[in-house]
Amino acid sequence: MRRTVVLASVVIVECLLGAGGLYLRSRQPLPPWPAQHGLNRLDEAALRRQYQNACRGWASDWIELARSYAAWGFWPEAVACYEQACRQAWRAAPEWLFECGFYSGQLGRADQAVQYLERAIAEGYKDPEIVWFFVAQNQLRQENAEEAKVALRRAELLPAATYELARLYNKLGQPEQARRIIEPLTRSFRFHYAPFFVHLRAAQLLGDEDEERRAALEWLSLAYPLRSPFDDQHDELSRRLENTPYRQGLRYAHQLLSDGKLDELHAHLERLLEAEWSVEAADLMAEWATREGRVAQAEQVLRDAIQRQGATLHLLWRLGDLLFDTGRFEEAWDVWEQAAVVGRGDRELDQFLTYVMLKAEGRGEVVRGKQYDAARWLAEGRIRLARGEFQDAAGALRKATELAPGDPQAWYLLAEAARCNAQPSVAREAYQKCLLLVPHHGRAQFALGLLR
Amino acid sequence: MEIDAVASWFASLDGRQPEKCPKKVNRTDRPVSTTEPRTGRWGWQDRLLLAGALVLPLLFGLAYYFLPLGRQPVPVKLDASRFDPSTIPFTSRSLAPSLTGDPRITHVRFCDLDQDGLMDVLVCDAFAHRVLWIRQGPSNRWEERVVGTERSVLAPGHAEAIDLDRDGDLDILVAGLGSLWPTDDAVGSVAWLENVDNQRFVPHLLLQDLRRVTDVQAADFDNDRDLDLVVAEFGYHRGSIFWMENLGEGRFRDRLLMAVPGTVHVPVADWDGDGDPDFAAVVTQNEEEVWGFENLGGGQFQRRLLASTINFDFGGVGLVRCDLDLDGRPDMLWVAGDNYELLSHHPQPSHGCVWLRNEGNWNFSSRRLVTFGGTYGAAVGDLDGNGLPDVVLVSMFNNWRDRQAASIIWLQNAGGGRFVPWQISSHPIQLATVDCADVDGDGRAEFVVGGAHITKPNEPLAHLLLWRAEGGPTTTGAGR
Repeated sequence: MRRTVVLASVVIVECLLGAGGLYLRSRQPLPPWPAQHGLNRLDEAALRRQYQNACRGWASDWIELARSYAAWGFWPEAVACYEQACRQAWRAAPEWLFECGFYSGQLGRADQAVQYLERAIAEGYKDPEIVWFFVAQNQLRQENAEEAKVALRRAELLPAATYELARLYNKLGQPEQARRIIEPLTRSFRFHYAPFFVHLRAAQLLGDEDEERRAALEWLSLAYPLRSPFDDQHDELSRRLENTPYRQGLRYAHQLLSDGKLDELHAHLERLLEAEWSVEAADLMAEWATREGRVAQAEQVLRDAIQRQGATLHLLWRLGDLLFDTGRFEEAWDVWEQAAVVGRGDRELDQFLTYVMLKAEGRGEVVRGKQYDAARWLAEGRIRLARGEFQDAAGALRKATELAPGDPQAWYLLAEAARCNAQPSVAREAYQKCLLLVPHHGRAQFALGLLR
Repeated sequence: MEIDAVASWFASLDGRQPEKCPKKVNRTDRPVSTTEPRTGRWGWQDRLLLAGALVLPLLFGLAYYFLPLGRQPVPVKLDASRFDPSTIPFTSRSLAPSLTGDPRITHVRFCDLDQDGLMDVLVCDAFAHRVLWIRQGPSNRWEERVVGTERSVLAPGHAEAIDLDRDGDLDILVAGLGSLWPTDDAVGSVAWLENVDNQRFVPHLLLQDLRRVTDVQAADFDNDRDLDLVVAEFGYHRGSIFWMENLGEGRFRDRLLMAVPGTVHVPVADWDGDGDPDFAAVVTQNEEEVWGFENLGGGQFQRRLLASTINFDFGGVGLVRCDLDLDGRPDMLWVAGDNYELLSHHPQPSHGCVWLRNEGNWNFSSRRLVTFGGTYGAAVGDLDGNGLPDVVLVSMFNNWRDRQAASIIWLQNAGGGRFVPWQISSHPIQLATVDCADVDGDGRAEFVVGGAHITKPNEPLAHLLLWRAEGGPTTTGAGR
């Protein structure tokens, strides 16, 4: 009898628990689906599959969906998924709490962000310094200076946290304190501009004009940023976006092109372009048309891409190439000239100019070839200077000045490269050459004044 | 086997060994006593209950797995800014229907470029690297003319009509971004489009190899009767504010005033009322600050920090000169709405506009007028014709996935420092710039907006729209 009672009790308890569980499940909300998402058909289908998985109700599926939403920029939906997953999981993983806190901060919900981030630390997140860094950011969003300071001190193993703390001291009107904190970082990161910015601000606040000029020149010359935990989040999102079906489709198209499978490539590109027009897909289609000998179609595709997306160095380079190969040389030169203008900030400009120079020389156009030769060294010097490759920059710019000694820009940039490369005498001479050509060149005067 | 184990456990509850398996029991060796308690025997009820106890978790588990979730999705807060619809209806018309491609209008400015008494519009189109003059002809006809191309300035970011050479006609000063996208490369420039002959413009590159330039303004800072320039070199992580002393004959010497990244606007005014032109600067990268530069004469300036916040995510995008309280002292509107750090964007609580009221002697009090997600442009004009300056705001980064999210609002100046927000429209979306002026001379200001398509969604977009109020003045009411 006792056994029967116990068994019956067990069954009743099970029924109650089961019914309760089923009731709760029937009350469990569905995952959100982003309204007006604007995704193409391929990406939407992939996201829809993740959504269906999340409809099973397991926390881990909600988290995967949240991560995808975050990558697409659907942050409100992502945070809603993270929150639901953290609620329904037996124990919310610290990573989930951290991510929920991070995106809550991105939404401007700083208070909520701090709560989630602190829970992530309490649950044993593997890099608490990183979490404290973001706690500090959310305290700054709420203008809680003291709380932000505390959090940044807890994260001070991170150079970015030290930098932020020093910046905060500057903002709070304590430049001496800022200088003291940033000094070790300045020594460790000699080629990074961020620590010098703190020195610059401190000098500005203290009214120390000489120090401000020196720090300004240093800060403006250095090329490397100081990496922060925020960059890691940025990279993670970029990686996720690179693996969306559409992007994978583009990579596959490149593969087909390099394998020479042109028929398959064409069908594949049509599918991609039907899903969503993109300049990359159009560019590949133009390449397919060129290889198939359909020059008119290739030209049409490229001109359409320029019309839709704007003129870029890459598109104009390709269009010029097409025109050149079909014997329309004057049109090609015009297009390439436009490419050299709009591609002024493009990191491939020097390669392009070298290419065009070789084309000019190949056709025996000596004057045009020389112009492009000087331009390419100038472009290479500019690009290397921006990258912090000062020695190579100086080499390229030296050639630019040899080819175009009347170009003040070449002399000025050579001087800058030499100054950054610790060659003050070369720099001085080049600044002076620049000032001979343009006596009112303010930046050359400024730098030369400091070199003296 | 498991049944045996469970039965064994249950039997232990009765203090005796269970009956294991019928096959193993030797009934002849061990006759059943009629006096033996019946509790040791597994009746069909017990067996059923035991089976139920074992099977139920499985059944419930399967049911749990296959049972669909509830019908309601988890609530999502989109944080889009919406307001009560404007009680004054506004209508719009396209000013440049021939513009094609992605809208990337970076700046619009009303001016009477040909000085014919009719307001025209200067437009910077960073998509096609062009400066456009949208000329107003008689009978409300507008025609486009290209006055600057990529040969003169790349990705123009700001244009002002001003008689730089003092020859009696209006020239154009252009700030060249060089690239719409963030970069620290030296792609920016300052260009002067000289009006040489009846609106035929000749380009002069005043300064190049700068980082991205977002604003250039002219004033006679050194009191030598020619116009000097002040330049906002935004850059990206590095940039500067400098002025360019006019040396005559189109030559300018640049002088660094402050090394700082992210300066968007440098509005010129006599901020301290001492009779000479000063300028202010809004810094939006690394720091979120408004600086005043007091003109001390002789090309000397004294910096003053006028307003700042430690909220790095404030999202400053601009600074507009105005006089909202009509006290004769120039005020500023500090506009915030940028949020593009992490591949995407979202309206923030700090977005909107703050009125920096000039209290005199370089003191500015700050007051938030409205919170409006993704605000990117502001302009001031009397939209309702009540004699008080109102404010128009446009949004670039509201949450456009909410179809009712506001893209244009106006703040009706109800007097006494009270401003009431009204939603003018929720489309087109992604608007970057706005300017206000009384175009038709009816005593009420019209405004022009320019769109810049940076990210999805891809519609509804527009390049350039002129908006005008219809009907009579509205009664005031509380906006949301």
